[in-house]
Amino acid sequence: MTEQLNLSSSEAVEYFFERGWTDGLPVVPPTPDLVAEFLGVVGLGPDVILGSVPERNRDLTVEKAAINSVMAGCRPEYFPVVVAALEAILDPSFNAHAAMSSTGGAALCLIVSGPLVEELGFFHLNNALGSGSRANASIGRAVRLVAMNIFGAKTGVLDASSIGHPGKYSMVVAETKPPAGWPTFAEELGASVGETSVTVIAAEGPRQIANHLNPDSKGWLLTIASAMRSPATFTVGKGAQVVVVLGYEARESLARDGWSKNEIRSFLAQHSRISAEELEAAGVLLELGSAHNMVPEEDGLLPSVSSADDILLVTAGGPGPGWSAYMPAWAPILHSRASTRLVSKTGRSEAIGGSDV
Amino acid sequence: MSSCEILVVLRPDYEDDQVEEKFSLAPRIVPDEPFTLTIIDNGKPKAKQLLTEVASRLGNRFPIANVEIVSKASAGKPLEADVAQLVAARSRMVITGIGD
Repeated sequence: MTEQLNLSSSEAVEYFFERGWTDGLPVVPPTPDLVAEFLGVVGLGPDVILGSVPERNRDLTVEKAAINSVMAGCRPEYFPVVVAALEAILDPSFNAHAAMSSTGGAALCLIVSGPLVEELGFFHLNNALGSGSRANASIGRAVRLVAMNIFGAKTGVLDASSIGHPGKYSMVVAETKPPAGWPTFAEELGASVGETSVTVIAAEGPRQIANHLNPDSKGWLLTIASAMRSPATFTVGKGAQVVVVLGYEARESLARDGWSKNEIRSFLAQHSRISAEELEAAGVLLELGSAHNMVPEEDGLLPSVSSADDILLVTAGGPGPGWSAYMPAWAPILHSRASTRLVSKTGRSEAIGGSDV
Repeated sequence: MSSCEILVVLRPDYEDDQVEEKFSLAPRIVPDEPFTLTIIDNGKPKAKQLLTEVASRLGNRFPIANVEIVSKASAGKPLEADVAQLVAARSRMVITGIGD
């Protein structure tokens, strides 16, 4: 049973800082009535276990998830999305233990796709990856607070991030409606109309990609591919999953020119391949004889993505001259894979997308 | 709300941190009969070379008859349980590495 603490109301926030229960920002004190409201939304008992990290011998109850969601500033109606995200993170294929402890400093990046994006007020156009939306900020923050407070993902404890990035506060990509003829990200994973999916991927920070002048939509893809093959990215030359966020002009011009999402993925996978010489020219030494055996393939090149299907292609961002974004997974797929759940407004979420996504 | 009002809140962290007390370190016994040493290579670059060198130096101190190497596919995942059992059955001493 969760311990109740009696605190002076004027000192409660400071007490949470002192106990190391925050991410560095003030939290909303999790009173029993607020937590009960969250539990009521999903209709799950407080002791229901959402999942475990066996390597840490710890599991997560719905009540602890609700407490941390209150602290993060979530509204009660956000809680089903948080539950789905946490269940995705605790899927063994995601390998939460490694994703939360690696020196690589990954964010627990969420991709939300479906009608709840509009219903809950996620930013999905302007500032899709920026600040200003309570849903984007607090849902991602709730997930991070659970990682810290339940699973010990804290500096000096079990989070060994060498440098980390700001996405470790919150990192949520909410998909905007794609151009006509393109399926949504959720639909590609098997969701039906009316269903919302949450995908989690352990990600490095987002790279903004600019292409302001090129009228050729193929030019947009070449620019994105050039960002995806930067030798400075850990997974380039090894192969991993990546998130590509197609901004407004990019997606509209690509769709207008007849590109399908599969064709875009294939193009990006091919054009993000890189030679050993390019890596070495940038000072990157090839890993050989280890888990990442960087031996060039038949075309003499090394992959930056594991396969075309490992490009998580999402539409987000508002009008503006030529901005898209890209986030590589923190590690190759042999260590961690993105994981997806369908959001259920009550009860547990449902896994979709198979082992690939 | 006055500044001295008492606020009841729920504790947000994991509340069973006593796992450490359930275990104790195995006794440190210096083997005197020839034995097998197994190295668990975590898959990181040069891990195998580093641990092989450690094994070589240990050979100057202990009666190591045989060195076996087990390589993990991912540094981010634990050794599979069946492999761990096999290693435990075959080895008197095991060395593994963590981190980079």
